[in-house]
Amino acid sequence: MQGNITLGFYVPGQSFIHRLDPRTKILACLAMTMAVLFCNHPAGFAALSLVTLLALGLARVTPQLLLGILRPFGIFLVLALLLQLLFTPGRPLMMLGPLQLTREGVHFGFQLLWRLVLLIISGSLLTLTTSPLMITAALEDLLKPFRRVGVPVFELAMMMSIALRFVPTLLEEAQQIIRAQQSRGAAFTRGRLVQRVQGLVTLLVPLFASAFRRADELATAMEIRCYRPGANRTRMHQLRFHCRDYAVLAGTGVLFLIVLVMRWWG
Amino acid sequence: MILVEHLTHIYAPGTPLALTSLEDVSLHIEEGEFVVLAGATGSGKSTLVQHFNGLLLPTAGRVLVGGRDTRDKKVRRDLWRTVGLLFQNPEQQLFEESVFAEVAFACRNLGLDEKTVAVRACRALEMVGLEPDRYRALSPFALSRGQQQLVALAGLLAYQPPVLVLDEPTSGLDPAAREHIWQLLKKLQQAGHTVVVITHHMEDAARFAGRVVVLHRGKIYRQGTPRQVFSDPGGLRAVGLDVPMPCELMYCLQQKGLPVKSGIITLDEAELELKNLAMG
Ligand SMILES: Nc1ncnc2c1ncn2[C@@H]1O[C@H](COP(=O)(O)OP(=O)(O)OP(=O)(O)O)[C@@H](O)[C@H]1O
Ligand SMILES: [Mg+2]
Repeated sequence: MQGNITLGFYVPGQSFIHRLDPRTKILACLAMTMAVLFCNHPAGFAALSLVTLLALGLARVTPQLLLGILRPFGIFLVLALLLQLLFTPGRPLMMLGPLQLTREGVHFGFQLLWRLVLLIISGSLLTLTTSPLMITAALEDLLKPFRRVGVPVFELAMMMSIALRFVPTLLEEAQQIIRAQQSRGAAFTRGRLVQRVQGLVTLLVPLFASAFRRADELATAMEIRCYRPGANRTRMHQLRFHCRDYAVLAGTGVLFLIVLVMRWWG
Repeated sequence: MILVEHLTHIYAPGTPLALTSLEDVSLHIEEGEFVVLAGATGSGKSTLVQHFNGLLLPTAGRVLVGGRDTRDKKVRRDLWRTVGLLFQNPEQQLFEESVFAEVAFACRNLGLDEKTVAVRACRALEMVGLEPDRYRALSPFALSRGQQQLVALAGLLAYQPPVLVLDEPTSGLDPAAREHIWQLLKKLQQAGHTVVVITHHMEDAARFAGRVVVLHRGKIYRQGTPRQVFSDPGGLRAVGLDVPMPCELMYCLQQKGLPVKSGIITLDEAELELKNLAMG
């Protein structure tokens, strides 16, 4: 449990994916997500998996790190698979007590599992290779057109980036608090249910107290620096598309279209 | 009491963020000792002491407490009763609605009866210099950071673990309170407790420690009596530490070619030495 790579962690680096424009990465991630959700053809899944694998390679993600990313989702993935396997009606394959395993269940179960894995990987690739600051900048830029219709784009982008920035911090802090309470004899993973619930209280109260304190301090700090949403600030790093960005966008765009075509005409 | 053998600790091993925070540290803390752990920011002090009560486990090497390996799950579960650890940030553990309940928390986890708990909690509050009647009903969140720290310390003292490990217990306290805490720790040591304190105040270390251990970038840079450790101000400054003022003064005088003894660490000794110097 100590110091795992957690969801939303940013790992600085110089890989191909790291150097892509953040807007490219967000758009590509979006296209991949949609493609994965729409896809229902084995060939499509194969193509999507290959592209994901290529992206992992380009981002220099080691198998170990990949495992670290997926591990926290383990239980959730297994549960999703089991539910699909056991509760999908259809042609029976075999009986497991009162439950039956169906052909459709197996099909949809593994399809769901694979979808989730691909989604988690492409989402993690985005946060792993893009600093929260860049994500905010990109979101602001991408959502600019919606300002016309009254969407508070700057505020949304700022909220996003603050959330992204603080998720790992809070997780880290939660671990610290757990350790502090364990060294006072609090029980988190053993004892009767009552004790465990009490253990949870000893974690949540300091965690919330700290989150509110942080929020307060952050708000003050932003005000001191005269932060105003939407004020016309210039950026230290101007976003600019390069050849590689056009290539990646074209590639994922084509992939997305192929998947769509396969779904409706395949 | 605590035996650390070739301890190496790596945070987030096997990821791009892997960080070796301790490297091949060996250390033996005897029962009844007063050890001060010093070192620059990020040198691994907090990481090391969290190994003493099994909160962190060695990546390599081992840690024995009272002869038992902390990697053993059964040992680890009850280690907090033997080795009481005060964390660096007290606000990360306060959660009860009153100071009294906060101080009593660990005692209650020991399974003591309410009467004993009440007696001990009040005693502990007195010991750290918070009047029980004035503070017991307050919310710990309404206290200043220094007071919160004292409350956390009281919570530790109340359950009376034989080994006290304190991570910067006096940071953020006023000089009077700081002096009070050090005196208190000395008294506890004399009463038989083993005391390990992390601090950046070298003057206090020089006055109270039986042994000073200096960490530098996750390794033990130097250890020994305060006199031994503070005999080389240059080396200590290179690893980000100060030496006590009297020590510094004598060192400067020596550099100027004046005949003063080295190995002086307290003000009284320095005063005597200066008198001798003035007399000729
Ligand atoms: N939970 C953690 N995950 C990853 N790295 C950590 C973690 N805690 C500490 N570190 C790293 O380990 C090293 C040692 O940290 P540690 O907290 O032990 O230092 P310290 O000597 O207590 O410093 P300070 O005087 O500031 O308290 C630091 O480089 C720090 O960045
Ligand atoms: Mg520390």
